[in-house]
Amino acid sequence: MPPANAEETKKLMMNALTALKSLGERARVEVLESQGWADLLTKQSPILNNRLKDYFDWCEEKREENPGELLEEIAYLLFHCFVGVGNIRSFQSYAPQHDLVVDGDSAAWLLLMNYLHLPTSGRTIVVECKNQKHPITDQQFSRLCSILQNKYQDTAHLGVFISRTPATGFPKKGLSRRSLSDSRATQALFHAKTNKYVVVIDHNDLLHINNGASFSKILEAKIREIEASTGISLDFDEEWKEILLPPHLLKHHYAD
Amino acid sequence: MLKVNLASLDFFSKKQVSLLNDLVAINKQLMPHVVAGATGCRLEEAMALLIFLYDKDLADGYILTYHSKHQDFYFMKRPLKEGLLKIDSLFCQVCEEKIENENDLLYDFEFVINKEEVKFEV
Repeated sequence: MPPANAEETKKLMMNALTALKSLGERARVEVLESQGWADLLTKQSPILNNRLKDYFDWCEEKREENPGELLEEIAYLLFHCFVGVGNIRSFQSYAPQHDLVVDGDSAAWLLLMNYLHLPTSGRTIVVECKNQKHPITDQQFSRLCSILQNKYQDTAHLGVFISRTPATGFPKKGLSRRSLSDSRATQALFHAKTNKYVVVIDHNDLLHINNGASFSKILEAKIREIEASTGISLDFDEEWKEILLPPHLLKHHYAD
Repeated sequence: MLKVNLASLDFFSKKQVSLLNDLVAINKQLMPHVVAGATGCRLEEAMALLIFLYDKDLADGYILTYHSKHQDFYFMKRPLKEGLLKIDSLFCQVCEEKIENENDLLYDFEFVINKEEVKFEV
């Protein structure tokens, strides 16, 4: 059999990796995360690079942009860079909008699901963009968890926030925290309960992507972190102190 | 002897696994088309098996690069993780010609079993 051209060779590798029920460390690191095979999962996008540059210029107040639309565009382009992506749709309901719903059914998409530790039965990713000054609140975080659980129960196992700010309770750079609180706790509990993941791609991650880091690798690292965190004892750092009942309740307490 | 269970590769029958054992007993250097020919599986299935062995660290993987003008001999053998070549210009050591077009490059895979004795089973 004669050797094959580059496209046929990539296709052979892609199909072989897709046929594996689960990927081990060597296939992940030495093939999918290697520079040599980087284009199996993602393709280069000059438009994304330009819009990321615009975003960082906007952050430094060097240009005017509609903040929400800019981040939505970046989110769209990030997912559009996945080789196997099928549909990227936007939905709005009576409830506030969830921005993008991304899915696919190609071999490359199945491989991506496998790489991201996601079951291939649920091939949809729900994306929400937040370009706000304050961190993603626990309420906002829980809302995406709820959408994943109730609206996409069988079809989606990953929710992604593309946000300028991190979520509440996530450790800040340089600080080591061993306890879980706020959104971070919600994230771990939601995963423990449903086996689904909600991750946040924040400003720092966008900076890494702008510097050449792979979006798929960042997503995988965040998913792996959630898997690891479910092993941590959920030691909430909210300080639960017993206090006296407030007066409107206290009056009933002593009524008997 | 190291026993390797191929149950997760559900496209290999007992008969094919037996043929695979016969092949590996005499040949530790495996290419996808060689495995496909010896066992009667499809090329994609042979490649999946070889990637499975690579992933389990039972085989080392290489990518062979050929010049389209002489496809009987590869002129470069590199570790699998290095992927396909991206070149501006390359010198073919077989025909001593300069290759300037990536379309003139062809590829194949080679996997070398790195364990002394391996027996496959389902």
